[in-house]
Amino acid sequence: MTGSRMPRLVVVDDDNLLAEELAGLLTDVGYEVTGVANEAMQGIALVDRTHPDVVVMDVRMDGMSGTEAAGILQRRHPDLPVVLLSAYSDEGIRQAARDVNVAAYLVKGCSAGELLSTIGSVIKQSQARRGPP
Amino acid sequence: MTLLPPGTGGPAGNGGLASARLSSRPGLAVALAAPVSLVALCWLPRYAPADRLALGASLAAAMVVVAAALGGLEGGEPRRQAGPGPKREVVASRPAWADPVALSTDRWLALWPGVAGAGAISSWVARLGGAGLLSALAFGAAGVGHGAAPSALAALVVVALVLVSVSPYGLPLMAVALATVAAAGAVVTVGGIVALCRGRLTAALLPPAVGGPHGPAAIAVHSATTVVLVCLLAAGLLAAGPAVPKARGRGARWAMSAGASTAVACWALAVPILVRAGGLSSAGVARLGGARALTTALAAVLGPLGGGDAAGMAHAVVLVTCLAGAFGAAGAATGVAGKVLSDVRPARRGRRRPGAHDDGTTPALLARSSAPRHPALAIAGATGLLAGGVALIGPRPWLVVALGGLATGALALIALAPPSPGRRQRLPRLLRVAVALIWLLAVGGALGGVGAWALVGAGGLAVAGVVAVRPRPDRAALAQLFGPTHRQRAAQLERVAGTLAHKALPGLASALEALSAGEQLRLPATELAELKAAARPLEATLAGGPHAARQSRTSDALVEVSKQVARLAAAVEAVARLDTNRLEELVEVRVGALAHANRNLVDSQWRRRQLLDRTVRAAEEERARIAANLHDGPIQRLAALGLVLDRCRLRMDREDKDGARDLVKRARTELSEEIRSLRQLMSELRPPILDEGGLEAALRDHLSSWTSASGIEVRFEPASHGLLSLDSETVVYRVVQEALANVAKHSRAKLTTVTMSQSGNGVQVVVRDDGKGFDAPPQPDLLRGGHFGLVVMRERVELASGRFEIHSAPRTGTEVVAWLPTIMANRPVEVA
Repeated sequence: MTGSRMPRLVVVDDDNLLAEELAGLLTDVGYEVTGVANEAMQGIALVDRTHPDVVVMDVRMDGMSGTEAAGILQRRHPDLPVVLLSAYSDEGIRQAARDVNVAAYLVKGCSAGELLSTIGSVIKQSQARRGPP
Repeated sequence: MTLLPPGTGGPAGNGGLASARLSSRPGLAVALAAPVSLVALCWLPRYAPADRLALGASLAAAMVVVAAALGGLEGGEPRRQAGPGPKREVVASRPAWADPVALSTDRWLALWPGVAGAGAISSWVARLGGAGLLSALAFGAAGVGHGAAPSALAALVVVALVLVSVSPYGLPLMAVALATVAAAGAVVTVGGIVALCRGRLTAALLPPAVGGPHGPAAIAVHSATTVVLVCLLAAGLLAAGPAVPKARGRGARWAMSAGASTAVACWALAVPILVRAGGLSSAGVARLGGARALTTALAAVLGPLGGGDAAGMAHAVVLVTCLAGAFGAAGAATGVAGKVLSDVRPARRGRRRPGAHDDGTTPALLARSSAPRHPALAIAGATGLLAGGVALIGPRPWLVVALGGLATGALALIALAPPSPGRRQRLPRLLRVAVALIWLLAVGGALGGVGAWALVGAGGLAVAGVVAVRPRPDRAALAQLFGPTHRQRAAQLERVAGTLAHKALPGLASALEALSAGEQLRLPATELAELKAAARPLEATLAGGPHAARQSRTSDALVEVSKQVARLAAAVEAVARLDTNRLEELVEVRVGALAHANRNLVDSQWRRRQLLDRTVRAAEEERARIAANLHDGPIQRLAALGLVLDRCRLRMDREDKDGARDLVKRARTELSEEIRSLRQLMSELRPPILDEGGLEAALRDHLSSWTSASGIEVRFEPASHGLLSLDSETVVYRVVQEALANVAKHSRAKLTTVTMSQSGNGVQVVVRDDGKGFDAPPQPDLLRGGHFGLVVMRERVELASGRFEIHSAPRTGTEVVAWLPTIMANRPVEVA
């Protein structure tokens, strides 16, 4: 990641309102939202196409769940951090998320500061793993 | 009165006895009459009155022959006045019959019919018929007519003795007889003692070695003599206890044996004492015989009372004593032997006669039927033969008397022996004729003597008894049916009548009433069994009895009544069996119904389990749906609103007021939308209008939204109806809701009608559509057909005490009917 380029993100959520608000918030703080998808498969295709730096994805969606999609993304883009954003705070779902090595797990309803902080932290960790270009 | 000098042999010598010879006619008669009569008696298994008359006549004939034999011994030769001792004077006024040895034949003839008559009287007293009485009166009259008062006296005493010896009726008669004989003995004793004290009895009577006439030795001797005599009589009476009921037990038998032994011992003591008292030597006793010795001794004792007739009185006493001893010994021996044998034989047989109790025979009759019969017959026959033989040989007359007494007692015992049930009752006709012929032969043989008219009279009576006095068939039949005595017959008849009147007929009536009322049968098994037991001897007699065809109307009626009652009992039993069969059929039907109900129960349980599973699943699905709604709706929107607010804050921080205002406006819109969504969710869970506006308002509200969503026209036609409980209203609402959902989902209907009206004590709601319909299965099979929604509706309705129906067929639409009770109808009924 270069210092001039803003981190790029993809938002995947089946709730349009929440996806748009999330994308608007990220845009407001300076991130580049390369795309918003309402289904997991659409999100994976969008990632393949736009190569974002971070994916913010819902867990429970029609069709493929966010956890499954995160697993697929991990196999296809091992360095791509995925932040799961779910309405569930169950430990079982958290464990499932950890099993697919998601970068972070946030519960919907968290504050924008927590969300942005987590995303920022994930980006830094990702950049640190990649090292200087 | 001239007292006998000491050392005399008695009132008469017996040289005639020693030299006497038996006349041919009486001897032949004895040889024929006595044994044949006894044998004939042995053939008498049971005794009808006429047969007993023939028995008495034959017995009398036998005794007559014995007497004729004696008469032949005595009558053919002149009486000797010389005795074995020194010559002495004999009182000229002494009657001839006072000397037992010197009695003429006619006196014997007059005496012995009296004895035979006594047996007949005893028979009559023993409740065995009136012929005995006739016989006794005839013979007694014959004896009295001959001026034989002693014979009448002897007859009376013998009656008592025979009664005691043979009567099966126990101790009272024995006590009477004992008192009679004891009184006689007391008279003798008192007379002797008074005579001794007055000194009117000369010392010449006593042997010189004994002492003076007034000495204590003489008193002791006389007292001892008297006591011994009384003891003899008492012992004889005691020994004559064969008739003591067997129920008296071993003690009674021991008493009898002891009595017999005592009698023998007393005789052994009495003879020498009397010999001494009579001043006789042993040689004299041997020559004169015991009878004369006793007569001599008693003549001395009775001297003060009898005066000139002392010897005659002594003769009478001796005769009575001999007879008493003879009868007593005969009775004792016969009874003991019979009892011993009867006790042994059943024990050997080890079983009772078959059907003894089953044929209704009373235990008392059974006990009596085991009385000694054959042993007694055998002993009597032997005794009779011995008597005949002795008469033929010509022994001492007292022995003949004793043996005659034995035969008489034995025969009377046989005659009085209770009949055995189940045997022939009548002597065979030929045998009866034979007995009569034998009797006539004996009479003819005895006619060579004297007293022909008495014999003819007796014979005539006997023949009349045999020929004319036939046993009445009805009495015979009744005797065979109910017992030989009036008392037994009365008891048996009373028992049968009591069974009929108090047990069998009421039991039958109750059973019939129970049958007619259809109640559970209470068959009077005990009463019927008792009735059958009582009627069985009647039926058996009717079937095989020789007198069945000649029974009297009374017994006929009894038998008929018994048969009819038994027939009625059989009919009741048959009906009971029919009822039992019907009951079994009913049981089978009930079992089938129970099995069917059990299958239904199993099926119902299966359906309920399925329904429960479905209900649980549906509840889970409902929860999942609600959770999904919460996830997809409120949570997402609230999370988004949070983000909107955060963005608004960010824009305000940047002083981008327009941007912030846009976000606030947007947030407000989203919030209103979310409130609406939550309200709809709440309505789905529990329509608030159902609580606030009532069932009709809720239905209208739901129908409105439903028709908007489904596009199917709906008509709501409520009518006035009673008040439903809140639970029932909810059930109605859910049923309509589910039915409309089915209409929208499956029916392809264009019009749906919802009606609600009063029906009986409840409210009936009908949802009818004009859709394609379907093959509605029977309600129990709804679950099997996968119609879970319908099953849930039905269960809801039935849980609310309502009824649920569904009517449908292809192309005819579907009609769902739910009926639920109103509040008043659903209120529990108070039971007074």
